[in-house]
Amino acid sequence: MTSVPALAVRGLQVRLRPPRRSGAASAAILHGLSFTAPAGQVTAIVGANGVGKTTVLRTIIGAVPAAAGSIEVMGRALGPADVPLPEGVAVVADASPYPDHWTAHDVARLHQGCVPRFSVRRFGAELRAHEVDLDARIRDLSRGQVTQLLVAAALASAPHLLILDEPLARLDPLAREELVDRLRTQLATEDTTIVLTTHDLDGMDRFVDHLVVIADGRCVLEGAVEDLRDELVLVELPGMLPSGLVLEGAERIGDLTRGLLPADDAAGLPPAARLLRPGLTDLVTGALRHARGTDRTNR
Amino acid sequence: MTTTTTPPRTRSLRALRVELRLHRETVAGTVAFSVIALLAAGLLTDILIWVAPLWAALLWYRLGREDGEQAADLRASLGLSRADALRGRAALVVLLTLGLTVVTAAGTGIADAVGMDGATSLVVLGSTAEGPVTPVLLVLPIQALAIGLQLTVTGLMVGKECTTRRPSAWMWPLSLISYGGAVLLTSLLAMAGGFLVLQLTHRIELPFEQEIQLFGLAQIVLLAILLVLALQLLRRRVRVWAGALDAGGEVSRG
Repeated sequence: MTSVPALAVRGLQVRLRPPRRSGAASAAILHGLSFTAPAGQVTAIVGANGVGKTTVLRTIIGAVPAAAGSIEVMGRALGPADVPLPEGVAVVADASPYPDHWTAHDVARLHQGCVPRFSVRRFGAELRAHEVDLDARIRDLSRGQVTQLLVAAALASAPHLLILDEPLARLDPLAREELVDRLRTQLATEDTTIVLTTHDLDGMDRFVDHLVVIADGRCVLEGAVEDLRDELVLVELPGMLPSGLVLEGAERIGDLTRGLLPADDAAGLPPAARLLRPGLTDLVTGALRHARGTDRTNR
Repeated sequence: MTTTTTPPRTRSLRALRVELRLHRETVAGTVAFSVIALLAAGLLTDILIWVAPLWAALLWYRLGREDGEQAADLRASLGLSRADALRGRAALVVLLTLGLTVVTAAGTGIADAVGMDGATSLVVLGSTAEGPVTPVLLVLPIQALAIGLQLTVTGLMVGKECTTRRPSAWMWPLSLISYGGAVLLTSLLAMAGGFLVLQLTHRIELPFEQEIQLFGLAQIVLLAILLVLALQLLRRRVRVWAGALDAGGEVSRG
């Protein structure tokens, strides 16, 4: 059975002007980006720093207009300035969007007045569970606590679709693990779709279902993680690659050449080749290296 | 998966509420300034009353400058479209401008009632050696309508630049220059309208005081018509500005 994806992006193009120079020429940030985020799953949008991951999310939620392309969120076509996000979408930005003299109480009042599903009780419980002082001003909270505050506000809205921009970037290892657990629980108990951007996939292997890798404003790899891990093999070969063999995103580690190969092509490999099931990081780094044209050993 | 649609009117009210919350310091500052200006008009001087329109003229710029990139993300995540956010901002400016206009007129009335030296506006409409001849009941609406019109014209001049992107620093002097231009234009139009009516009625012999009152009434009618037209135009422009948020798909990163 195929269901409507929680998010469908087709041919998205975005141009941005540099800040404080209204006359300056704009630069294309996204060049025809396309991907989908299946409902009820975790989709990770991955790419190097500055590749436009935040711009993708800002465009999806409608904060930034697209120059071309289409966006559908939970079945609603977005894009025109007058079309808002549908109800049931919560967003965790990569930095606090609230005035920094606000407290958690101010945040609660704002959301309570705008988000019908927002639960003040749950918001308070989430913050207390993570030892965030509800009376503290946001500027006095640590960066990790600010992330906890943003996540608490989003989860208190009982979202169908939760969009997070680099949620793990400012968290210590323990807090990262706790956040991933919270999101897993959310996914399991409330059937929430999660879309997140990250450039750090540590500990995400068993969390992410769907992978979207962005480079140079385009999608260079997309698919269900398990399908990608079945379709590709990680090949490790001692010495140089035999002529005619092309490994995607290949790299040299000492005397070893490492790269991805379609599983169907693995039959013709030399006996010395070692075949491994690629992890999430292998898939991403291989795709990024291939996209950058820095696969040094297969050219 | 089903999606719920919030009616546009609900979203507009929600957008205004969000603007009131996000700019509550500016709103509180405006209220505090108004109270101080009114108290000063009754006790010390009416000079602050004349600062109120300048304060209002700068509102488009100030509220625009207070917003960062994240504020747009926040509004979007609260279910407000870019157009809703723009309409909410415009509604907040109009609301505060209305308040400051009333404060200016009320302050002038208070200053006049307590006999404050320099109850300046009363001089404008004509006086004799015995003092002003235009009743305060005529002066105050003229003043309120004129200031409302001047500030609406200012909004028409600077509103787009201050709502469709984060305004650059030069928008604050431009706001004041626009306001100054609007004051000049409004004064000329009001005077011309008043004199035109006097000219049309010159065959009727009226005492000087009644002529002045007719002059004032003509100004009220003219200014009221112009204000309604300017507000309608502002409403249409806000729609156009919201439409411009789509055009080109280019935004500033800052």
